[in-house]
Amino acid sequence: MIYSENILVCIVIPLLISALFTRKGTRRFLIALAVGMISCLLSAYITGFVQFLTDTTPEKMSAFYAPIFEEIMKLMPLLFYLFVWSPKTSAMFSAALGLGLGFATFENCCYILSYGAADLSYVMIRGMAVGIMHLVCALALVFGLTSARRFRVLSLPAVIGSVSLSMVFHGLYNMLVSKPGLSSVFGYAMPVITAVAIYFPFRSLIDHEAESENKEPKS
Amino acid sequence: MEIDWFDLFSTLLQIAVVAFAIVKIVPQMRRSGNAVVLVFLLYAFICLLLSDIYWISLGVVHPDERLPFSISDVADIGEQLMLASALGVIFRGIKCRKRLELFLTIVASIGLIVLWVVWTDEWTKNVLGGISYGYLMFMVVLSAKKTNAFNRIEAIIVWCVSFVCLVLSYPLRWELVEAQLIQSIFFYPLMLILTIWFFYKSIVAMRVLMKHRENRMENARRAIAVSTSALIWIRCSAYVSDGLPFTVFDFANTLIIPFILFSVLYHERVRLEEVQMEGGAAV
Repeated sequence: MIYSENILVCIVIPLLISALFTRKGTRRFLIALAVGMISCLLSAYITGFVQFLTDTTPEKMSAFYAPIFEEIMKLMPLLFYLFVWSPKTSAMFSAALGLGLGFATFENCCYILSYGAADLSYVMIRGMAVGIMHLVCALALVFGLTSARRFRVLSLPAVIGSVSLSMVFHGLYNMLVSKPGLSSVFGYAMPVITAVAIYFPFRSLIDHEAESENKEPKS
Repeated sequence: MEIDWFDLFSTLLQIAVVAFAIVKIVPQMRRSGNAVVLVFLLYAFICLLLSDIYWISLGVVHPDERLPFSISDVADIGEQLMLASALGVIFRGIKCRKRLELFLTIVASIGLIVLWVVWTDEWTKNVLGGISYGYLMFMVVLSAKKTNAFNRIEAIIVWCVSFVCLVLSYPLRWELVEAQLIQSIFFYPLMLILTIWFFYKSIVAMRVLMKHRENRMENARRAIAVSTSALIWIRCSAYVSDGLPFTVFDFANTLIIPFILFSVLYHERVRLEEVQMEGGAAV
């Protein structure tokens, strides 16, 4: 058993204090990182609670149902940020990246503390796969949300549709890596291949958004 | 593990068709400055692709696992909602009365949800899936009305046949010999005839789209309305079928995807040309 709340406090406090000494973009990223970690802990609580209610094994819960709760917990802060502050698209992307990274970092910390970090190759594979998987999920989510908002069609179906895509990607990964063998190799490779495939379109999209935001007249 | 080869072939074919659709959408999306309709369509197709991959992978990795609600169902819900959102954007400028359509789709959706729950005893999957399917059905029916895709008689026939098939599929739950007889000599042929008719309408709409240079936007919208109506009908037929007829409708579901893809791509190309002629930005 690990004390995940204590680990969270230990990691988040320096992040929040350093946020006080930074400006705009960096501060946003640091706060998003901390919120991602908190979301990870909250989703673990919810997953544990549902597991208790439905009398499911932890392995089955993690392989088949945890992605649903985890992606919803990632969606909530993003929606809050979107509706309360109405940030620019580039700021949304930066917040989503921070959120995804924070989530993945805290999940990896807890995993390593629970199961040990003696095998460096496995830790590296896990770090690459899980870290990139959460990043890809967060990007898919924020791209759907910002596209819908840009054309003023941000509705409940569009939000659910966007989060469904990240849930499915996450769920497919979890299911593939739930058993050792060839399937887990595919599972670990999937986020890396997807990240490579979407790198150039996303890079040009973020650059395009930043350019158009710079061109906008300041009110 | 027993492999249903027809089912597997049908799913692999759908993966190939959907992957092709995604490859066709991405360049057009970049040209149009990430037009939201294409983003929604892309999301819908990625959900469908991942759902198929998940379904095959689940059969390989966990062959004995039976899940009351799986990620594959989440993908189906996401796909239907994204497709409905895309239709909402395409037809948002056109106003029409929608009370009757709303009433009919609500009744049909509730009928389907009850039928699925009675058949499978699974609530979560069927209620959530039924709501998203009902929303897609409403958007499709509305788009068909807005574009006059079907005349009044055609619309009445489609609705009557849909409700007759829906009501007739209830007794099949109890596996009565009479019900199975009705199913094989009346129910499946009727659904198949209507499916062929929907394909015929979709082909005609696409031919009009390709041949005529005037009213391109209206023709594209009509083609979208007809092909998505075909999709809704085919899925409805698949969801109330079993065995070989299910595989046939599943196959038809894959065949209708290119019609939806090309009509939406054509619509976006025309819209982009109109925007550029007016001297506006690409998006």
